[in-house]
Amino acid sequence: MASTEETVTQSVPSLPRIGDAAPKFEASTTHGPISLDDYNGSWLVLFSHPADFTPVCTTEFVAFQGIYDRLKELNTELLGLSVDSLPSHIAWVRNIEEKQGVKIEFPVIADSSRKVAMHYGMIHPNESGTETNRAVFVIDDKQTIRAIIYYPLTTGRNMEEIVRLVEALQTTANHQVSTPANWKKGEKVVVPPPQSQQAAEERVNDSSLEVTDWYLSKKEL
Amino acid sequence: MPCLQPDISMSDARFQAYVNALDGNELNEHEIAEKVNEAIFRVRSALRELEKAAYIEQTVNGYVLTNKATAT
Repeated sequence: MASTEETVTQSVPSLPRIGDAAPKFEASTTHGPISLDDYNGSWLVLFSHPADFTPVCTTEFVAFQGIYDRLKELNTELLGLSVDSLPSHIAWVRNIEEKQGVKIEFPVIADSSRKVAMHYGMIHPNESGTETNRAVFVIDDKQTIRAIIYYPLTTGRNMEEIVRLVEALQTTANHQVSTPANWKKGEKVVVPPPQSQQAAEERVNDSSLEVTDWYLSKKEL
Repeated sequence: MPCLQPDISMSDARFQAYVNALDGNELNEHEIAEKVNEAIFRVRSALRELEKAAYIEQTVNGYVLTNKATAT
């Protein structure tokens, strides 16, 4: 029997979280069509910015380009995104090169349909219903989300923190350790705490570690 | 001047680099990346676009040019 009532359901994709598989996409970019799968085997820093030809975003793009070579040494690619059009992106990166002498070498997604932005939760309606905020997704080489950073429209991101975050995540992935506050590459790392009383007793007597107490020990890599 | 290959987004120079790399060769994506000196994500994107437009085809060991590509 045909219903005379219509039910309208609004589909709101759930926000991706740390540990989730990164949402798949294929999108138009300043380097041609790119899909998430193209990055399989590499780490990826996927970041959004509010709008082309805006002051804070321009400083960020120059700064992202500044860390691009260091990220590539970490087997990590950069991919930008905003809801601006492809011609706008092309004009903006050309303008940055012309006015600031910096060639933007990483691709930028033109997400005019907001499809990718919505799947990644890059639009926060109470801040702006039309622009993407300053989101950063660190995606590992198996395409799992390893870290998420959100900054508001008004605050430019810290590039050193993004490099440090990638280095810390890769250190954890490669060595099964954690990294303490303000950790920098080359510094001591935190070893996993013991999981039994006997292991805790052994830990406090382990001379190969810098032991503060049974639950907090560090070591050189 | 309009692009010589209107069915793909890549520049003429980049298209030619891929054609030159694959001319007479059957190469996998890593070998192509080395030949055209591009990151692997860019190569995968280009190969997908070239295959969709029938300029290349996938083989067991990699990719080869089609007649359409050699006729350009």
